[in-house]
Amino acid sequence: MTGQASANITVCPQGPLIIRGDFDMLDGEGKTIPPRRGTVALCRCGGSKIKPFCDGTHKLTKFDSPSENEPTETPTPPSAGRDCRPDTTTTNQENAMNQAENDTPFTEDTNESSESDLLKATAFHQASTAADSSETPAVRQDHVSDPSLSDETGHDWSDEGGATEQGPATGNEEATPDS
Amino acid sequence: MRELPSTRGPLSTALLDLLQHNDLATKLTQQEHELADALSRTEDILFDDDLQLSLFVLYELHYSGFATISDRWEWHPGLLGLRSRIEEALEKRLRDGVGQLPQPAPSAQPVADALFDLMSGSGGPSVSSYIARHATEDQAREFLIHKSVYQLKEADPHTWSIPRLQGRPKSAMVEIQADEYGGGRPGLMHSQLFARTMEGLGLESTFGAYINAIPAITLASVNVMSLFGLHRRNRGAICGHLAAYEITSSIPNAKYARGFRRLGFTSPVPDYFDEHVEADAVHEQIAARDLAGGLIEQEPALTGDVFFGAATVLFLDTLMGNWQLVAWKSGTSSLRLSRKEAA
Repeated sequence: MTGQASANITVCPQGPLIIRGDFDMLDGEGKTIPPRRGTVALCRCGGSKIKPFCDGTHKLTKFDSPSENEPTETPTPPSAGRDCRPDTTTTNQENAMNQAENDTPFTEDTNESSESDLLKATAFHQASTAADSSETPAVRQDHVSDPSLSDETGHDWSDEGGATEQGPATGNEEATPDS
Repeated sequence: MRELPSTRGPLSTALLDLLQHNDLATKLTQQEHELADALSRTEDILFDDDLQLSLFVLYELHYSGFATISDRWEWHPGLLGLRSRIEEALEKRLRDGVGQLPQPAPSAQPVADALFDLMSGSGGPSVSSYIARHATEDQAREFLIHKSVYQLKEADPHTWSIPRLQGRPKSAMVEIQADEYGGGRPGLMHSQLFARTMEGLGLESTFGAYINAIPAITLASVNVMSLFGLHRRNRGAICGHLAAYEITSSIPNAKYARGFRRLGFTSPVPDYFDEHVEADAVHEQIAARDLAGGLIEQEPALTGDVFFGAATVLFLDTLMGNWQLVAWKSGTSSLRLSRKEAA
């Protein structure tokens, strides 16, 4: 938040570049890319479907900047209760690029809570995680309707329950096809 | 809102009756009696239509009000007294519901890390996945009706916090809110984008048009924002709430956009969701680090409140998502009344 430059760039750990201030964005041919808002987030993980802008995909791909291996990266203090993900903070020993398979799925329903409503919701969730492959037409239609129509790798939505090129989503998908 | 909503029990009946007299009566004996009854009778305030509607009406006096009701009711001491008793019960219910909260070091980056971590653990059924792949057109309309009770006044509850913040968190809040309100460009307020989405599905886009169809749990999710936004003592909670909303926005909104395109809708219907994919990828960074983190750096004593605000989002989203999906998967409506009855 400091500095005298007319624009500044915040390198968000495990996230995008935030550009704030007076700047122009140009494409490869020198044409202006309209920023559409005063402050923009530019994709740094490569997975965004709206590049050059960030769309939050880094949270699914567990993107971790290779330059973030300084000791200042203090682990988040342990937290209990609803904070259900195992420690995903990095250390300088970790290979920052390829740890996704070691992490828990993004929205896996592993909350521990004494809250009865949440337990009910969890039971509901678990009871309905049955395989979801019988609704082929809807899934095919859904895949085609993908807003970017992008089939680039690294963003197949499977981590968050979306369809893949291979067919219906599995993973944490909880929706049943009976509606 | 144009009209008062329909009553949902003895308390809301007594309250609306009082308001309609427009005489700013000082003795609210009957309302106090009904409130005491309602609070002692309720099984769960989050699902109590009478209590949530009454609270919603009391809060709405601070927003756009009601065409037939005197604006002087807004600061009526008796009404504020009634409201504070409902708020006390609601806040206790939320505190009990969210469980233990993270306690990161009081500086911006650890706070941001802990917020992203907390929200990535969101459990419960995913409405966005359902909308993306399974929802019928009617269910998509119901989804919009649920959202409309907040989205048609999107950002307003968090704006209350601006005069209560200073320095870095204030700059962050103003930057986010300016974007929510369209960056000064007429017609591009997020609430207006949402109105066009509703109209694209043949829905009425006036705020409150479907209020009688909205179940208690959805009203509760909006009442909580007013509870946090209208009280200075809850400035930590409203900042945590906004951060949590922003953090859980980009990816679900991409799925909502997919769902509406799957159903055959084109611009302007998905525009609202597309805008949120991009905007909230910016906002979540600002909200987690500069707003929530910056506030905790200034006032470490607010750490618990910030994470309480964030955790209520997780808690209520799970309950609301469950409410909607249980109904849709059993082939029934998630609304209190059918759309036609409500409109």
